[in-house]
Amino acid sequence: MHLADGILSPPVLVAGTTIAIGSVVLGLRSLDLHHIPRAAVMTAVFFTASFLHVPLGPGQIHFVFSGLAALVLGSAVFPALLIGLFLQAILLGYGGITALGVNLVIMAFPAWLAALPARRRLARASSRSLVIAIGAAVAVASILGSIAIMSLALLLSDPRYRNLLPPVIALHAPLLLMEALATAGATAFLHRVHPELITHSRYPPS
Amino acid sequence: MIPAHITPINSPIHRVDPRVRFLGGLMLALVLALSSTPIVLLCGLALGIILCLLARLPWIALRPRLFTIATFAVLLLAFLPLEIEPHSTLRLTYHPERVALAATLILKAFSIVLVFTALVSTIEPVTLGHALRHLGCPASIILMLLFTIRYAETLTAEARRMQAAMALRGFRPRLHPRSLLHFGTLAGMLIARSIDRSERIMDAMTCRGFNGTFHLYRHFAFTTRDLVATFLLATAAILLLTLHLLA
Repeated sequence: MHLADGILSPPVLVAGTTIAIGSVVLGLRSLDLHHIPRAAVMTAVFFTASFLHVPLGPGQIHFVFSGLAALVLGSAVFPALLIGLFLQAILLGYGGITALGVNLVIMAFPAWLAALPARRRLARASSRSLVIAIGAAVAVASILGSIAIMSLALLLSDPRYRNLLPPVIALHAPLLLMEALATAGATAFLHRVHPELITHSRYPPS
Repeated sequence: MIPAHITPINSPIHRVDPRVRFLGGLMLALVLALSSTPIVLLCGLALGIILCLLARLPWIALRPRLFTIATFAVLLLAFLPLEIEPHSTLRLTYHPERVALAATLILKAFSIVLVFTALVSTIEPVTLGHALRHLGCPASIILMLLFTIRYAETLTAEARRMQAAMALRGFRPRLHPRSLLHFGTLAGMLIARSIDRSERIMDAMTCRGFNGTFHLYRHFAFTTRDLVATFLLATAAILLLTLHLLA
């Protein structure tokens, strides 16, 4: 999911960075400075949660939780994931620093879009199975959307990258299952203990 | 979570103003990202190695980053030169000339990661936050960044405690629906507890007079050494750019 430095073409990088800056500004506008500590602690939660991993064959695979982050944070997911990706690039070398904007669009945009109707629907949902289904749907939509945007960024950079798409998509297949079930579990849990967190129309619920 | 082994070393790079290092690293990364001329990338790689040596980066700090790029390199070399023939379904042809494309991309990724690690990853995260604020990043983003750095450690410890509690009750992480649902509950629990934590933090900050303004407490002095570093980094970037335009 993290694109490294140097693969994307300059127009794609510029377009991605522009969209990313616009969406971060949009996200910050919904937060006044007084509410930032709360949003920041949530950012730290998602940075931490993305290190939870599940063993898979010889290796392991870690969660992304972009859909869950968007469910909890609303449009504040843009600055939150920007910080997460920035720290991952600086501290761990995951994902390129020049591709930061594109990576943010890949991760946050589909999640934000999927969470918008889901939060409204969750406000009216009463049965546990419906809540679980909505949680899973948000995760599936975010991951599929991320794969689609990533493929688009690669193809627009250089049509020869189409060879890379099958292995890249295959690598993300287990992630789809993981994210769907884990986000469903988290949504069901939060809907029970902190329903205002994932059903309020904007973050933070004051 | 936050690798400590990169930071507290005294080296010529570590003594330079963080603002200069961040801007220089970003500028060099951009020049290298935009160029696909082999000679520019080779010079970039050499520059990256020199900077890493100057920063006295330990191998243990560099190894995971290089390993990430190497995985990516294997993927590129294995799949980029292959092409399914247009008129038959399962015939693959090999395009040797695309190996050159793959090599360029790999060279680019390695040179950027070396330059950026040496210049920027050696800055202590909190100092980097202050440097970014001094460079004009919005206060709200920097405040979120500093909070994330502060609480990443605390929350990791909390997540570990919760995982230990789960393990004691017989939970084993697997790629299995029930196991994954429990991971979801773990994440949800982490969020729910952090909400309470953030309330306590907010109360404590309000008690200490937080009114939404973010005060910087760390300031940097731009010395002659920083001027020299600026000059050297700018020269390197301009030289790479000239090489790119000439080639």
